[in-house]
Amino acid sequence: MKKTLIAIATLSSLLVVPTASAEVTAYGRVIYNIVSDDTSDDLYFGRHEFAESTIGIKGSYDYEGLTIGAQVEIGLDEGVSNLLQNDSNARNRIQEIWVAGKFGKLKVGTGAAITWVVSDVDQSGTWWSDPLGMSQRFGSTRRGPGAQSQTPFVQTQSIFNERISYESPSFLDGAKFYAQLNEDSGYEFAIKYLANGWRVNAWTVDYGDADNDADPQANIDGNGSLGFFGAESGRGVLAGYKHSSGVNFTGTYGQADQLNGSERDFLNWKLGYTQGKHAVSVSMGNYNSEDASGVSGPEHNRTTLAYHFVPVGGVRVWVQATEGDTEGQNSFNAFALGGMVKF
Amino acid sequence: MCYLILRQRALLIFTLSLMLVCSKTSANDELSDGPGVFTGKKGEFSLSQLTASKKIESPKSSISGEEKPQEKDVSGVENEFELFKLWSHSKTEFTADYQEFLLWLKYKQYLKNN
Repeated sequence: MKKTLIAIATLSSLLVVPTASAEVTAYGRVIYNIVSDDTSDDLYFGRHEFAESTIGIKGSYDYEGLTIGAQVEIGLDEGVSNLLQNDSNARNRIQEIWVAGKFGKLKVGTGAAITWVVSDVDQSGTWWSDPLGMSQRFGSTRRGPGAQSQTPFVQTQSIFNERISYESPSFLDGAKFYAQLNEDSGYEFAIKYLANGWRVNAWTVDYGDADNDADPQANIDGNGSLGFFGAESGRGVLAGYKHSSGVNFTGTYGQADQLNGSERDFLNWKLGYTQGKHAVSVSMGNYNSEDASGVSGPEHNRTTLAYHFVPVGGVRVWVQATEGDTEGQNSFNAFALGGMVKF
Repeated sequence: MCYLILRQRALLIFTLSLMLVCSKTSANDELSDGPGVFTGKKGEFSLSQLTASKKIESPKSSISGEEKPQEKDVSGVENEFELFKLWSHSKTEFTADYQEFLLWLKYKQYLKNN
C-alpha cells in the first residue's frame, strides 16, 4: 500500500496528460574574437565561423515511448561594424522538428549536418578559439591569404543545411550510424564510435546538384552555381584518444573532389592537455591540391598554439597564435584574443 | 616541402604510439557548450519549470476545474486504481516518468539515511 501511495504522489501529475511530459528550454551565448594578422593593417572583430553568438529555444514532448521535439536557433553573424559583411546580421542555424524512439532519431528541417557533427570533434578543450579545429580550419585565425582560406577540411562537411537526417541508436557498445538526404539531391553517411577514451569517425558527403542553395532559381534555370566552396563531394576519417590525465590527441585525414575536376586533401592533428580550468593545445594542418590534369598545387601548412582559461562555468577566454606556411615559406602569422559567455 | 609532411606524419605516428602504451582510459563526452553562467550545469533555462512554478503559486486556478478541466480527484479508490494502472504501465515501459519516480525513491531513501 505504501508503494501505491508513493506512486500516487509521484504520478498524480500524469493524470493531467496521461503518459506525457513536456520540456521547453531557452539558451544562448555571446562569443567574440579580436584577430590580427600580418596580411592586413586592420584588426578584425567578430565571431568565428560556425560558432557565432546564438540564441535558441527548444522543446520536447514525450508520448507513448516517442519523444517529439522542435528547435529554433539564430546565429548572430559578423560584428555589427560589418566591414566584411553587408547582409543581415542574423542567420538561421537550426529550424527543425524531430522524433526519437527506440528506432533512433529522425530530424527534418534546417540544422547541423551529420558530416559536421561527426568530423568536428576536438577533444582538446580549445575548440572555441579554433572552431572545427586542427589549425587549418579558418577559425578565428581564418584571415590568411585569400586562396588559402578555402581548406579541404571544410569542403568535406556541409555544416548547416536543409535536410532529413537519421541517427541510429547506439550499437556495439558505443557506435552510431548517421544518414542524411539534403536538398539538391545531396546525401551524406557517417559513423561514429566512442568507447574507453577512443573515438573513430568516418564520413562521406555528395553535394548533389551542388548549388549550395546560393540561388535556387539558378538551379531551375540550369545555371547551377559552384558547390560548397567548389566541392562536389568529400570524405574523411578521424581518430582520437583522451587519457584520464587530461592528455588528448585527435588526427584526421580527408579528401574533397572539386567541380572543376581538381582534388584537395588534408591531414591534421591536435595534441592537447586539459587540467582544471586550463586547456592548451598544439596543432598542425597540411593540405595539398592537384588540378584536373594531375599537376600538384602549392602545399599549405598551419601550426597553431592555443590556450583557454575557464574562470567560472559558462565563461571562457582564450588566446591563439597561428603561423601559415606555403611551400615552406612563411605566408602569414595571426593572433587571436577572444572569449565566450554562455547564459 | 616533403620534409614538412614527413615531420608531421612522424609526429602523428609518435603520438599515436605514445597513446597506445597508456593503459588508463576515460570516456569522452560529446562536444557541448558546457554550463551557463546563469543557467548552471544544464546550460539552459527551463521555461517549463517557470510555468510550473507559477501554477504552484496560484493553487486556486489549478483546482478550479476551469483552467485544467482534465485534472482528476485522486482521493477515491477508483482513481487510485487508475493511478496503479498508470504506474504499472510506466514500469513496464520504463518510461522517463518511471525513471524519475525511481530517482525520487532514491531521494527519499537518502533523506531517511541522513
